[in-house]
Amino acid sequence: MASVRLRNLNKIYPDGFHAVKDVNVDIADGEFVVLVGPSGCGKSTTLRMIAGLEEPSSGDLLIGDRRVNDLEPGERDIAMVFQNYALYPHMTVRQNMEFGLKMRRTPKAEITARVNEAAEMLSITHLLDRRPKEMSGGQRQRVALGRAIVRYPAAFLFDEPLSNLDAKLRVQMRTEIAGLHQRLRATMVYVTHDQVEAMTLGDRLVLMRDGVVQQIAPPLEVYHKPANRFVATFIGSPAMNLFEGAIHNGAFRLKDIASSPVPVGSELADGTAVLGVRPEDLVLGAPDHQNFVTGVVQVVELLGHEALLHVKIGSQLVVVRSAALNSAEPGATVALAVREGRVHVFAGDEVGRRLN
Amino acid sequence: MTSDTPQREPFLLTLGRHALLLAFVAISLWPVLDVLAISLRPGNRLRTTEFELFPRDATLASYRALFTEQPFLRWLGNSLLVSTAVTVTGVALASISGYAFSRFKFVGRQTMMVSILTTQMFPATMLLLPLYLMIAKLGLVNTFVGLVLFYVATALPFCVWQMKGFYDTIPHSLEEAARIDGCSPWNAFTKVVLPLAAPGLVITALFSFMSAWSEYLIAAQVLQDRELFTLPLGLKSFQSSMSTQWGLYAAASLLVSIPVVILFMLLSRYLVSGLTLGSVKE
Ligand SMILES: Nc1ncnc2c1ncn2[C@@H]1O[C@H](COP(=O)(O)OP(=O)(O)OP(=O)(O)O)[C@@H](O)[C@H]1O
Ligand SMILES: [Mg+2]
Repeated sequence: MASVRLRNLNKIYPDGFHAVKDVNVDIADGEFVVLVGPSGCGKSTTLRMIAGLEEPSSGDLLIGDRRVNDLEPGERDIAMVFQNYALYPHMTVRQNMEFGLKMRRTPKAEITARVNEAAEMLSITHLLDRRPKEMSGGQRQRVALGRAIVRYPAAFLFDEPLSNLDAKLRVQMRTEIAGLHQRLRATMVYVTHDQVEAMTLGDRLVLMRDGVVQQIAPPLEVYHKPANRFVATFIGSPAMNLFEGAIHNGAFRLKDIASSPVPVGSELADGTAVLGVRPEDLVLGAPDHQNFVTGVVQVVELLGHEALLHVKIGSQLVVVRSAALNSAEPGATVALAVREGRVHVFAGDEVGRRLN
Repeated sequence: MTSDTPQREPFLLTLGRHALLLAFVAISLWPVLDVLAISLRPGNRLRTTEFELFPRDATLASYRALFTEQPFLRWLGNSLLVSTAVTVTGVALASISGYAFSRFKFVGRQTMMVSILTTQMFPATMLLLPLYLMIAKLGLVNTFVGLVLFYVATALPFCVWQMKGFYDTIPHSLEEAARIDGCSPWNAFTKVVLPLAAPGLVITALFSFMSAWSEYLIAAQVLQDRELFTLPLGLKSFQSSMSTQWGLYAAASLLVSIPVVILFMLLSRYLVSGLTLGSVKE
């Protein structure tokens, strides 16, 4: 096992497309890091550079203390699990798992021992003689995991390993991967665009957008202190509500709409800003309360354990998460308050850096 | 219930369809049976007034003569040698270059693909003269090497395209997995890609073999010694300006087709592709 370090990593594809821009990430030995971001943001490209399947245009890549830029994929001591499993169709499960060890001339007895151990760990012992086409998607992905495990690699790389599975299986395999990490304590780099996977699996998340890292932090920090507007709306479902307005004397006021000032901290300079409030931090106000703003309920979504109210404020729709299922009817006018200390303030410019 | 059972088609239509199919079966089988009949007739009768498949005086004399009086075995050996050489060379070259065209981006890739295809647009007869001149310059006239060179050159374009098309259906992630498992690019090709391309290799091999096995025109230009003749040339030699030995001709024709039939039967299961099924999910 080893650390993985990315230093000023860039990838410019031959057609001139700059897919990964100056990425710096230090992944500690044994850490589970999730690369997450919207489609096309360069997650796979970054992972494939670590694997050696794409050549970095510039920058350094270190696994342990070795600079691996010029090493073949097979020399980097990494294992990778692909979205499409990529099992060798002409080999049995056992042969698939043995292949990497055979290529490395591991002694036969040890190969058998490792394969049996991994098969046991993944409960696929009964599948060892099957071929890939004789298995279900979940079983295939398990075998792909097994093929990685037997190698005892310095780091595991995953590129959206669960996105071809149905919803139920995905949850199950997610738990399994988490368990695997706890058990193996191996360095893992995991690519996904699924924020639930990211939040539940990662020790830390690396959020990317258009090839640029937006934030590197543990999941809860990303959730509670998103570094900018993009991260704020990307993580969390339903997405964080954003209000445009301005700060004056440490309080935020909406633009163009009557509202009570929301205190955001006296250290913030005056000027335009964007206020972010998560749906669960926007509460239906009591009459005697200092309310933020009023709006009209458009739609009520009942999810069983909670309700999502879509409330129109001026021309904007915001979402309120309410534990009470009968709190409001469509058409009702409601007052909304902001839970104290749970506001996010972002700069009013294009990037929307976090201010508080 | 009745609404979704397909309507039975009118009897006349069924009858017509079967009649048409039977007619085509007859058209393709009749000549073969005719050749069989001729090969069994004593002497040199091409036409007779009878229509029997086995003439009453049927004899294997023509077959016997082929092996005893004519250098038929020699020609068979020559043909096998030439066709096998063409197959091995063709498959080896096509499997490698098809892979390069499928996987690598290099300068001139597109141009080369198109120019390879262009050579297929000219009839082989047109290339006969320039290719012959080349072989003559190389001093390879009247040699098997010259003939094999000729055949490989004409069969290769199709084979390369065929193999490229086959590799295109094999997901790149398989080679990538192999590279991560410790394979060099060459190992990933031979250990993972090539076994999966087996059906493509078989088709390419069959095509190369057959194109050489039954070829006459080019062989007639390159080979001059009767000793070096391949089967099609040997067959033609039964046809002299004076007379044609139809019995020998027919018997030899039938024997020539046997190896091809056997090849097809042996390889037919490889022709059913779908080997990559289930390895990946796109
Ligand atoms: N071989 C290539 N040549 C040119 N551009 C490429 C190539 N591969 C990827 N790209 C581009 O680079 C960008 C990043 O691609 P990448 O596959 O890393 O995205 P991703 O974050 O993994 O997205 P997804 O979630 O859809 O898998 C995309 O805009 C893509 O179009
Ligand atoms: Mg991707």
